Amino acid sequence: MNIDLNFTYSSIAIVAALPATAALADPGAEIAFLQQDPRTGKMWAYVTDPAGERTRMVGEQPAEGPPIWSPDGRWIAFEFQSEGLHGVQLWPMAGQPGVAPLLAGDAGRYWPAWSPDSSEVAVVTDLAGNGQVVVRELGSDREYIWAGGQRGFLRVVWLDDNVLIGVMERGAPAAAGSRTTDLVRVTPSEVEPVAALMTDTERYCEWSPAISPVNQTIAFESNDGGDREIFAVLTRRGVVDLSNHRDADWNPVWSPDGAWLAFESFRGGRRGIYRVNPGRVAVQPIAADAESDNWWPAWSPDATQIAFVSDRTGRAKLYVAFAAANPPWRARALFANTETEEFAPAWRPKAGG
Amino acid sequence: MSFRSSQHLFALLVTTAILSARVEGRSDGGRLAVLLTPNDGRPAIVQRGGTFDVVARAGGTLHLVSAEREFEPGVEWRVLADRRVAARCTVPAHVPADLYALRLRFEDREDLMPRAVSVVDTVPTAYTFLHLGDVDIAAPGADAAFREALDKAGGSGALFVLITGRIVERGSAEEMNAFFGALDTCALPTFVAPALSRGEHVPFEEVFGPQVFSFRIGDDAFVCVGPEASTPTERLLNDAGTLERLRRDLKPARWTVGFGPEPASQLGVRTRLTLFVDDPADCYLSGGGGDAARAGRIPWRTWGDSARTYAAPRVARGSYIEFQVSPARIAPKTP
Repeated sequence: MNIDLNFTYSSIAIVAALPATAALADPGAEIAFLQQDPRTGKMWAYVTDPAGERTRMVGEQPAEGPPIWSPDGRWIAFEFQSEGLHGVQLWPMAGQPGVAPLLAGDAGRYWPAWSPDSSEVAVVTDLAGNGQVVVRELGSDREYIWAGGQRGFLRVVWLDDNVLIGVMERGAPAAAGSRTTDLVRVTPSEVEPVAALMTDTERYCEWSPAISPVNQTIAFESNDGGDREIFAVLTRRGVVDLSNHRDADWNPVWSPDGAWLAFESFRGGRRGIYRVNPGRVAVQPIAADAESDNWWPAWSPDATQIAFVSDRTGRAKLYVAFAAANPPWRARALFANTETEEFAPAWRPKAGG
Repeated sequence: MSFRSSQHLFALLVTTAILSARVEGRSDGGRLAVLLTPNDGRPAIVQRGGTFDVVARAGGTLHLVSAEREFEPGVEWRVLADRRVAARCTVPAHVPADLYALRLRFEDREDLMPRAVSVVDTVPTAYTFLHLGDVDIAAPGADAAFREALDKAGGSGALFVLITGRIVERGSAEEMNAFFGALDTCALPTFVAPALSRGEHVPFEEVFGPQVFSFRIGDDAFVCVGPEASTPTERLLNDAGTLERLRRDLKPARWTVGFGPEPASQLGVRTRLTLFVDDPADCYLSGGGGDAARAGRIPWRTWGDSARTYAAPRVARGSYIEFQVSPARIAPKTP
């Protein structure tokens, strides 16, 4: 019998240990995230500085979805449950008065998405299909049904202040083997295909649309080609496969300067975080190793850091990785010594963009 | 001290050590002690001479234990993250086919997990397994119906039992104890994919091990999506990532069976894409059948024929689905 009880973590890939001060180049920087209460299993939203030293709770109910900052950094939207209703809470983060949560008696409110000018929030009314698109104006506190009331939406993101990009289910609901998802342009009254993707209509399953904050370039994931890849609709080049690998690539996230797409890939064996420049199409690892999973990349406002989640110590914990000339990026853990698990980091945008 | 006194002292110390050896086991409410997997809701099915993996909170001496005999497998330990250890165990070729408890002895303690390892002579290319739906152990008549179904299963000739859906209503320790009290009467290995309870939070990972998991029966692959796959938090956790990795590791398989506590229509988009679109399973088994077994098809476009779905009736109805697996098909047994 060969028993080795000398516990060592030498086999665990801790990228690097960095001093806390290394994260405080911007003393005003903040990261929203969710923390799971191990006793109840509930998630609660918090905000902390990038060193994880000054942390405060956000909201008064457990969160059911990720915290999402408004582009002006004045609000956090997160999903919650209240008396059996699934709604969206808009929580003020700049001392302004709060607004009533988005709730509905007969339908849920999921996947909140802020308009670029932070004046509106779009949601879908069903998490698993057949949802409508609802837009709330913060100024008037009124809600409008978009897309002419059509159903079948799974999630939406804003292309600009007047148009949404939606993921819509296609195909006869009852017909076996016919259903797909398509990306569509959504206005208050209409739904139309994204022109560059018209030839793919009802052929593949697109998901995770992401809009460049700089030039409105649409990135998304699709099983076009046989496995899940990251695509972008590029000017003059059309639809380009940016990640091209036989293992799954998903969840693209634009950097705030529009220069990079971070995404998750299984090309290293485990779930890892990589980035690609759409102009050069050269994939670089940011946080990936053979022994743990790394997911949910969130860019800092200056695109020099990425917060993410990793289970490299056996628990899901937050990390902040710092840009490095040679990959992988160096990273340090937040809340490394707590028994809790943390998820869904989101960096507070800089006021004024 | 005389030699005789020393002998007495030694004997006393040994006796004291034996008497003080603490026996672990599931806690009140079902939480695992030191042995984590395999367990009575996540067994290993292994051929004689084959291997299975153990994960525990401490290393020690492992034995396969039956009512009459015990056997020591070959063991190689390694250290995992989060202060756990793993062992690759080889079942000696002379071990007779049976359903064994797994015993771990370490320091002055031991942990005994009943019905953890099923040793079989061979894994046939054609076999049957049974699928039970929501147990809901606190419902009127459920305990008796569950025990009756498990007793019937024991004489069915099936290779194993799959239990999906709600096993408890409120999640109390009393309910969990009742569930295991009945479960451990079964003569077959039982795989449990529990739904989240509607009352107290039950950390099922601490009761059964990881909730997204897979196992192989010969050339066939079985993969569980876990209870969070049908909740809004599916987007946040790594369950879909684990599912993607398991799906890739399981290829190529003769048949791939997805299963989980909730019906396919309630699964989150990422789980659906992973299990039904990108690497389509052949079928998906779940709880949620209600009073009768339900069959359907996955509506998502896949690269081949779309997957069949089967939801088992709740156990209190006194019935289950018997699946026949052969090189030609995997389908419920028809009368």
